Amino acid sequence: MIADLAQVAPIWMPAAGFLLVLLMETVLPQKDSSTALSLTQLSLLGALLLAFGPVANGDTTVFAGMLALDRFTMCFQVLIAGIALLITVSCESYFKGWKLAATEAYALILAAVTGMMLVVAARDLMVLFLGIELLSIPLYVLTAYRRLQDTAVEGGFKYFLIGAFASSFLIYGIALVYGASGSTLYAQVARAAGTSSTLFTIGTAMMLIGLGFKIAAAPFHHWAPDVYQAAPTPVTGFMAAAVKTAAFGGLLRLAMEVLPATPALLKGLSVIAGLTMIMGNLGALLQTNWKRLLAYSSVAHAGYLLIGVIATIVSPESDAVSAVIFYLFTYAIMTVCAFTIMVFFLRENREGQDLSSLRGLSRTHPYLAFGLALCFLSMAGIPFTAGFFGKFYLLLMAWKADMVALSVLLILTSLLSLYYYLRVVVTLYMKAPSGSRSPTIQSRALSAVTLACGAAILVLGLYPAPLLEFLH
Amino acid sequence: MNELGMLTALIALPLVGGILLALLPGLRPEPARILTFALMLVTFLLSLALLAIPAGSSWNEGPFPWVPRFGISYLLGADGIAALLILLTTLLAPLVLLASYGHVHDRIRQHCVLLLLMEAGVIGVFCALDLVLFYVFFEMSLIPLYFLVGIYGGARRVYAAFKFVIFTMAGSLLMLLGILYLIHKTGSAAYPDLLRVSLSATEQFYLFWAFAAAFAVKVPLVPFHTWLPDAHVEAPTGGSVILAGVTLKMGTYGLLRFALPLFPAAAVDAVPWFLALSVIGILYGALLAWAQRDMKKLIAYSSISHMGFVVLGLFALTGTATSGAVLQMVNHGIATGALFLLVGMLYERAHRRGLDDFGGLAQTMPVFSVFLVLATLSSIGLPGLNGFVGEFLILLGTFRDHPVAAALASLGVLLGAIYMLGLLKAVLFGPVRNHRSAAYSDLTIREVSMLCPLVILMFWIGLFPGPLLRRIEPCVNQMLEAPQLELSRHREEASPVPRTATLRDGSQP
Repeated sequence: MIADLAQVAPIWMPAAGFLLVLLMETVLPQKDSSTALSLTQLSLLGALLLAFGPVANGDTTVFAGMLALDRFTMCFQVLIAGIALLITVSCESYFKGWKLAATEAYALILAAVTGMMLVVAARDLMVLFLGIELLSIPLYVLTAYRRLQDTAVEGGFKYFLIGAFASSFLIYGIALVYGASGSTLYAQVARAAGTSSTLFTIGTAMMLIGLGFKIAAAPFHHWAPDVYQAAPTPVTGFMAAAVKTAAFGGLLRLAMEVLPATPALLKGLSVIAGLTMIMGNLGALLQTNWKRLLAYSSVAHAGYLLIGVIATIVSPESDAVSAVIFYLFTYAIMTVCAFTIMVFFLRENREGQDLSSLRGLSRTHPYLAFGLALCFLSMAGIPFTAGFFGKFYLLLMAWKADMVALSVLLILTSLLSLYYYLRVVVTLYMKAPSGSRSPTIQSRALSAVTLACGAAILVLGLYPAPLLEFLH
Repeated sequence: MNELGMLTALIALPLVGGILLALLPGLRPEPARILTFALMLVTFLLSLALLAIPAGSSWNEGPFPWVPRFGISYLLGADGIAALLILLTTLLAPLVLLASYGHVHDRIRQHCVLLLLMEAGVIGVFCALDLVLFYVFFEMSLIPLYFLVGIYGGARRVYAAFKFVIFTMAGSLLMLLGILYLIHKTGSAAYPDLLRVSLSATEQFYLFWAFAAAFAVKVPLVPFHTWLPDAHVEAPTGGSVILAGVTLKMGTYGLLRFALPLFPAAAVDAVPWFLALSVIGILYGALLAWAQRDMKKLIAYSSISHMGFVVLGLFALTGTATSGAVLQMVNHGIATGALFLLVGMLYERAHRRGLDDFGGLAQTMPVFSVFLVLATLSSIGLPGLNGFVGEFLILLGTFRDHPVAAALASLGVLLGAIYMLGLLKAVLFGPVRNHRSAAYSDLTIREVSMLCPLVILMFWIGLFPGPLLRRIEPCVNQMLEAPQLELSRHREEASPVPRTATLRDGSQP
């Protein structure tokens, strides 16, 4: 057990950081949050570095096969720790700007990261559920962090209700699957999957619905725009990037090891994927609030990613897993970049979230405008950006799995998405600046994160080969 | 040649230059423009080396693995056709920059960066021999143009730029889907590999139309042409010149280089469609141009008509017609480029460009008038100027197999003369309708030096087309090899009935 503990350091390091930050705040109250920040970043960095362990030690499972330590786990844990690390930088600027105590936010982020690390390593349905709960509850609180604003409280409450609803689906589904298979371990559940009892089918369907809420797949996506809008900007970024990554990590492992390639399941998932692409892109089409726009766009991206998940179920040995992970890498970088840039403006009221507040940004803040345009072009999948190869890989896998209809739908909805992504670019570059704009935050760290993400988008767009080989 | 060389240099020079220009801190706008001009001039001079490519062969660079997991490599190649189109690009780019002195007074550096990036993209399109690389360059040339139109254009610039991108992307995304299928099927995106792959008739059908969609929008073929008048009218002069001069050619080039040789059976089946659409384009474009009272719109619609000729020539699938089509791509770039430059010059003086706003300019602006007459005559296809050679070859080559299409197309030549001479009459001759026009100064030395290279080329190609055709023909024959084989197979399959008929006729005493 002790030896196992050493191996799962990426999971307990954020947890330890969480406890330390809370303890420190009670025992030695600090004037500012800088100590908490360094503690948080230290534990995240530790988790990030230790996550590379499985590469050195080979694939193993620990805790009686409940947690997997393999390349898959490593890729996801590195990604999640990286996202969290970058988000803490914008948290610092953001909460300072709003004069809010940031210490608790760091503690909550660390708690959520612990849950995410569990989800992506889980090889047991109960561990999966535990992880999902652990990542969700801190986020409900984080959403309502600006607790004096009505909208924030409303958003947090909405997220909590929907989240609880989703969890109940998940746990009931797990119970049914347990009933059908007599175990919660993936390996044994998979054995029961072959018998395809009604109990098992209903159980998996309910589990997928529960996870569908978490990844914001249509028709379970209606919470996303409201919650994205209500949450503080860095938290929204964290939600869009890290939660989606973790939930897809959990789903992808289910797809690899448990979910049987039955026609009913594939058909159901295909319908959900198609619906998600359509609803996400249609919803984003006419948004004028940039947070809602990004919420719908994140729904659309979930739809693209589901194609990869389906391809994985069809042939678990194929490259589809790497395609999903690669897409999540590119998506996380674009999302973090976009939200970090928006933190520069620190505006949370309705006007501040309106796209028109970005009019003519290229005149007043050329670098920020360029970065933002790069993010949006990358999300649209324009060549020379990371998003292009992300979509490219997914489409290739879709062809390999003979999913003609879904690949055509991906192409068509991408075209639709071009409309609203370009609308942002138009606002940035082709409109005259409007009135007075509140000054932006000056922060070296924030600029460094933006620069690093922007550079990563371009580098992955120009030369993705190293990352592709690494993920394979 | 398998090492990096001239082609890479031609792409890298404007690309790296553009990036450096964007990043260089503290550079004033005017030095930036001079620097850009110098860079474009060097690129042009370097590209003259492409004339050394021996007829019938090509320069290749690569393949170097780029994304081995997807079978994508960095593979460039330039034969006679590509060389001509690259030369056209590198020639027009500095002229466009010179033109920008007249109308770009704000955000100059950004304008220069966009022009350089676009030049790199267009050169890349004409020499990329890996399909993904081609796609990347195809889009890379699109985005700067989008910004050029959207930032520096006229009143409805945002709408026009938007429409342009959405139309083009709709086509090119279908092509991407096709490219992905080819990679899935063969594991490689390299053109030489794909030429060896045998595809079933159904596969060819879908792939051909996916590729054709991307190129037909770009050309543009009727009915995908509606973005073009908007984009042309709203674009700044430089944008119009680049758009008409080179980016439309990316469509016809793509049809010739990729759609015809890779999917010959489907291409042969599609011939009637393309002939019909191009003839409709020729006539419809010409009639619309005739009806316009705005000079830029008139030239835009005439472009649709002229590009219809190019597509007609390509799909006639005879060496003569297709060579004529390639030559006509170059000719159209020169003539239409010159026309847009001239209209731009007039617009900078008058701030209007209606046909009815002028008159009698031959009196007040004699130098301008001479150039306008020459550009117009080249566009009409007057013997002795470049336009004649291309149109003549296209019609000659088409007539053998498709006399009706050729006859209808020659009607387009007639219409072309009517509306273009109408333009001359309204603007240069007749009564003076705008009394301020007496005050317009004639062309400056800068403007004359922009037009001179184009006029020289008009005469040179018109009088001595031989050297160019000698470069074009062997390459065209290579491209047409597979489709022509397919065509003769078709004829053999179709002929048994008439042949037995003649035999029976012959046996009867």
